[in-house]
Amino acid sequence: MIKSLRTIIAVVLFLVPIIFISCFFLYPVAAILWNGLQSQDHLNQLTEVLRTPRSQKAIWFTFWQATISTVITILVALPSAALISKMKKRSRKWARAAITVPFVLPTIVVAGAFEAVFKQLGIDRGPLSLHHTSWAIILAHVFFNYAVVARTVGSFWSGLDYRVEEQARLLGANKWQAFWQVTFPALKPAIYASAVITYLFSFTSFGIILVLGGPRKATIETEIYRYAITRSDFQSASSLALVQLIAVLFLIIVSTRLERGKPAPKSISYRSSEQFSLKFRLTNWTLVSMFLGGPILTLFLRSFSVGDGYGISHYQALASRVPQLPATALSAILNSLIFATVATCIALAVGILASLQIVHGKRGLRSLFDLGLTLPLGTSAVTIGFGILIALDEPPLDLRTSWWIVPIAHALIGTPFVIRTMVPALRHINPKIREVAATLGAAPHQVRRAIDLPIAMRGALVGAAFSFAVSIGEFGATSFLPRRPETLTAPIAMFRLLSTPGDLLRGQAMALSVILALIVATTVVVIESTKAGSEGSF
Amino acid sequence: MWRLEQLAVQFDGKPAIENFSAQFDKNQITVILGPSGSGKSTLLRVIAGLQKPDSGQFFIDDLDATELPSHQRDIGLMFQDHTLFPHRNVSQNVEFGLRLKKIQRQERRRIVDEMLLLVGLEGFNARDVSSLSGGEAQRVALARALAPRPSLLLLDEPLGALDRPLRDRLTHELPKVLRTTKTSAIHVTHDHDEAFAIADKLIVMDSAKALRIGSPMDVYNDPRSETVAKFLGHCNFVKIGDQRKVIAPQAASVDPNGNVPAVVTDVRLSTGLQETFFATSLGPLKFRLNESLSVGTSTILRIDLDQTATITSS
Repeated sequence: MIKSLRTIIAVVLFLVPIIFISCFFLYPVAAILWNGLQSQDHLNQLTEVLRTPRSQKAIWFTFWQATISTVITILVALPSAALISKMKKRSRKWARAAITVPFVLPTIVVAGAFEAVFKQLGIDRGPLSLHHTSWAIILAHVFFNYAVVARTVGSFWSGLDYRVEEQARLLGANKWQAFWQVTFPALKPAIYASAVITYLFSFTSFGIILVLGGPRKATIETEIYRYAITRSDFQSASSLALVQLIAVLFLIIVSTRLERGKPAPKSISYRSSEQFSLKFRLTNWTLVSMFLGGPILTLFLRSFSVGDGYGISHYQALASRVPQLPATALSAILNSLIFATVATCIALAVGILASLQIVHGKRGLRSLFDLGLTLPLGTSAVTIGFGILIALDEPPLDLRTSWWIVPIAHALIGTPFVIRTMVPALRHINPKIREVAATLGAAPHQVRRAIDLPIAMRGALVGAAFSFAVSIGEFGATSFLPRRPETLTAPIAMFRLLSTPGDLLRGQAMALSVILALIVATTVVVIESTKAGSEGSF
Repeated sequence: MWRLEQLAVQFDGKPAIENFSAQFDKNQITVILGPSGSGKSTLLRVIAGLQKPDSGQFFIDDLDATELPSHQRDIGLMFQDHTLFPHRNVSQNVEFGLRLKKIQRQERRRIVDEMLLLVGLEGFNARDVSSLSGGEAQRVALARALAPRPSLLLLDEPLGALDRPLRDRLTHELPKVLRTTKTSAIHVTHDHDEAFAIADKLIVMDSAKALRIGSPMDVYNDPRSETVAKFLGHCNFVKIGDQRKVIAPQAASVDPNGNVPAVVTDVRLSTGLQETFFATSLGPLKFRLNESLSVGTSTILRIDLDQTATITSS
């Protein structure tokens, strides 16, 4: 009796992640494929959409801006990577934490911050205007991805054996020759890896492009949004989403190829006592703090600037209704907090169950779970949101009017974070510990409960905190979900405020940004302090 | 009583254990001695139920237990190092098996204290396991393995990761603890000094096979095969007539009326003992003598050739 009950529980726990991912990810993606390929004109739909000049322009611009953003990010982040690699452990930790702030900001907040900067510098109009230009987008992408390159390359660099460069210097190479001929080639794996991630982020960027690009600058992502939401043309949107899926899949295959060639940096190496010149260090850090700190500071100042002076009226206004929003901004913040909490709980539950299967499941199923549940990580938020929009709107799964659709979409994006942090923690457990537990009388399910779960829980909680931060700032997927007062999230409210002209609403948007940024920053500080100085790359 | 019959385990087609049969008696400490990679750890894993054998059987008191899962075998296991549960303190580690046996809290506390006293760690109850030294950690591991009173305790090189002085001390203490608690044990090691100090019964293993089973003295004095003899530290292999023989390093003394003329070729100090190397008519030999001889000395040794062991196989 007890045994059969236990079997039933085991089967249910096994099925939970499968059902979750099938209903809310695989089925929606299948719906996109179905919609994108199937039509009255038999496959003509796809080619027809791709033949319009607007779509072609969007596809071209998507690749173009991602390429330029990546190249510029690498060029401007390399000096910081070099400086970080030679820092002492403690100051390195601080520098890494500081440059990571922009990366964790919600994209919609980044977009708002750059709008604020343009306004502050007076380049939101006139001949030098960056308003709704490619350069505004690229600037924001560099700002956002700076940490990816600086941290990844910096960590890798500090693990390089410096004696090789010294050897080259002794053989007669000058500083620059030694760098370009010896150190730079050795850094290539880390540069490629961070370049692919930057490219992927820029390629699937949505909030930044929607706000900073305006109606003139469109990418595949924003075109999907335009077709689906503005025009309710789901078939054209599906066709573009199909293009997006294929492109992202290709990029991920390339990135895993590059990852495979990436040797792990050695833990111990000879560090040179030689430091970069004070002039170089001062110049770099001054420019970096202006570029990364400037927008955040501007955002902060503008949220308090009222008329010609300062005040908190923008914050007070968050509690009152404006016609542009179905509910007050304050209730949107509360909604966001509740959604993030619920989404995190779902992500934690699904992630833990899936992680246990990935590490302990039957051999063939392991990689299936691993692949299936990390797929949402590689899929753009827009694709996920659009898929849910078109798939879950009719029985048997009609969630269109349900409150749950938002936390479920967020949990889908959050689950891979839990898995990504929990699986390594589980794999890190010495298998002999489990064996000892078994010989002390613990049945397999007791080993999971008494050994695996408590030891890997810390990893899972770090992932859960990431999932929380992501959910708080989630914009891409949420923007496709039905809008009702009780499902209005803070990033959506912010987008509405930003996209309506008028200084008062702008001020409110800035205030909302600051609050969002503070919530996310708090979460990240909690994560960093529990990680206790571990140095991961992205 | 535990019995292995015709046991065989293969890893990727390579034999880890071949045709292994042995019996382990109650209240005895059996030591399995062999070089690393000889299959001795795999043997323990089979006995613990952590490794399924490809063929052969394992019996507990004449009942076939080959398919019995680990947690139902009542067999404890202690590894070389790093196997304490990191998320539990010392007490919580020791009481792990007791909780699973659903023993009451009061009783658990009593047993934990008793076990910690036994391994010389009284008062360590609330200590975090990461704060323990290597020797302390192994004592906790021993207390944890002993606490649920397993009928048989398996020890997989339990002292292997410790430094020499600590290891010597625990080599001395371990059999005492095992005998106090009347625990039957199988102890695996590659160190012959440790093996002789602990064993009631010795099994010498190499290349997946049991080469020699017997009491430690029997095995040492009559190793039978050259591999076993070499592994036990023998190096004096000689040919007398048609027979290959091995002479123990203690078997010679300086005696003007002896039977083997010899010249000292070298004198070395090894773990506090002086070893004297000779060139003799029987070939090069090495002995531990009471006398100190200098290199180049010609002397006559008395070796009781009738008392030497005969090598029957390589």
